[in-house]
Amino acid sequence: MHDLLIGRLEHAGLLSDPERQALHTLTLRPRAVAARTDIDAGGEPHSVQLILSGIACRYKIWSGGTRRIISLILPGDLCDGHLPIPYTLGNMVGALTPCTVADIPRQTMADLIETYPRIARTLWWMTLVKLNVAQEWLASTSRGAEKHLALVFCELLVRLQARGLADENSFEFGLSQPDLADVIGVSQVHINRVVQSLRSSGLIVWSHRRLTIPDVARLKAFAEFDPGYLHFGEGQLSSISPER
Amino acid sequence: MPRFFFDIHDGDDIRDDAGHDLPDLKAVRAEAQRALAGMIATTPLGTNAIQIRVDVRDESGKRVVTASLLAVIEDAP
Repeated sequence: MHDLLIGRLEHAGLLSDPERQALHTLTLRPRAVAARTDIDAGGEPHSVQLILSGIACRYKIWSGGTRRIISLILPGDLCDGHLPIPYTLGNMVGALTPCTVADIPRQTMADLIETYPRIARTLWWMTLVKLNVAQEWLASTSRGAEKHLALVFCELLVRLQARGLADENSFEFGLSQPDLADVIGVSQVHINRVVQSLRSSGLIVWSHRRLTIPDVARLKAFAEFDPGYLHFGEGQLSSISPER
Repeated sequence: MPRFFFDIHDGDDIRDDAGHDLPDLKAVRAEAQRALAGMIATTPLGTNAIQIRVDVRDESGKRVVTASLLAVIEDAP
């Protein structure tokens, strides 16, 4: 549990031993959230939610009932903007698959950020990566649904691989087609066409809640996916310049 | 809520085996319209004529709505 969080942070930047120790002493009580239900603050009103397992999303529902999924939140991610102050955006966080989450008090986050500059910095890098992902999605929507969905699959593969939750070309994928429709912003009927198109051209195999990408290089080329925007943190540079 | 199945014909025939829960035929027609509009927008460029049809079946297999969209793009004479 703690290793998942520390691993995510260290993906963005190296931590010192006292910083790792401080994270290890966090009280993380896992609680289950059923699929298709909102992830609220649990019993800890002023808290940030850490996803331990499953896939969650941030979403917005417009007055006509149209849902748009804004971001996908994976194990090791913090649901909120890593901010010590509560805020509302008029959008919600919900579990798409069954999830396990832990609540971290906002004050604890604030104390960690205040006391440990490298923790503050890694949270900042993670926020920038989230911004990068949002921008990439935004830019991608204008290219057509097939390429946009291909990009989302490539991105999920890389993000899940970084957490040890995907092998070289496949991962467990419990989302439904309606979920995917709301991720890429097409109608519920249109998504069927989009998924069929990727399937029939052999770019993806999706069955029994597992998504397999038979030729990763080919899907990446089709999606024009460059993972650079995901490996944004100093943790990625550390292997090049270990003297930091 | 009744379930409706939206089969897509756009050169390929994509049969809808999962279906969509919708309250009434008005919602079915709206969904068909949204689907046609979205699909034509992302059809590969470079063809002169694009025709997309969506046939909607109810749970008994009876066709209840058919919707089609034709786009013709050609050089002026």
